[in-house]
Amino acid sequence: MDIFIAIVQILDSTIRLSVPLLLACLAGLYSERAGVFDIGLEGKMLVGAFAGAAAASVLHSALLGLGMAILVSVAFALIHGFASITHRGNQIVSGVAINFIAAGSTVMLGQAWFQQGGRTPALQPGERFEAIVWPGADAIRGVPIIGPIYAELISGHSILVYLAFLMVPFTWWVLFRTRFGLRLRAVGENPAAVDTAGISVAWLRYRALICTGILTGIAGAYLSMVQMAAS
Amino acid sequence: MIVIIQGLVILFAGALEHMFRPYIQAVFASFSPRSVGMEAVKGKGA
Repeated sequence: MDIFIAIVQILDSTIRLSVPLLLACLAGLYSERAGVFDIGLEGKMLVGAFAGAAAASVLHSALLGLGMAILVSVAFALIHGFASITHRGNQIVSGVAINFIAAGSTVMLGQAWFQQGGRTPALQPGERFEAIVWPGADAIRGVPIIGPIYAELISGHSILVYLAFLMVPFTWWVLFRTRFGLRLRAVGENPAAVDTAGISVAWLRYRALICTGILTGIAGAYLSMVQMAAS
Repeated sequence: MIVIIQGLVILFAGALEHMFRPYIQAVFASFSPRSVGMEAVKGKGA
């Protein structure tokens, strides 16, 4: 029984730790399918994490923090798009530049704004995303097999975890069941065909990068406002 | 601070080179046409 509890706890931390990777993977999926290499995913996650934690601690709202994380991350994604789509620069170089700017600016702005050696202030309850306890989780905890699985594994995560896992079928649906997804896949594999069909390749790639920015923003906000801010 | 300057240099010199290159080429061409592979046209200015 102890081994079972241990396995449940390992799976529980697997779920918690996989969320940033999962969101970054989905973000990369959008941009790679649109034909834009995105080396700067972790840079975008980093600025998202910083913007989310900073905005949440200043504005005292977790949702505003998440929104700011998404906004800043999308802005960085659009810089990448401006360099690699509009000006046809080297996508790898642009991604590396995004990573460098993210690593430099977060430390510098953090030191300038909060004077804590580049760290953002510790988030108070209400400024971070709390764990959601599903109905009946405490009541069912004592039941032998189902209890720990429901109370530990399924219940008790923050809302971003459920959002991340819901993004997987949603991304599948967007990519393979919508007109936008079909065009997105086409623009990655054969941009000339999309251009011939009368669809703007540049605008489609920008939209793919905006999706990337939103997902990396959520991943960054998760890193700073859920994982590192846990009490 | 150094890292952010590095990043900006990489971004503007590396990734956004096509944004500046035509203008810089035009500036150099107006100074000395031969440096960008153009023959100087006599009697017509640069």
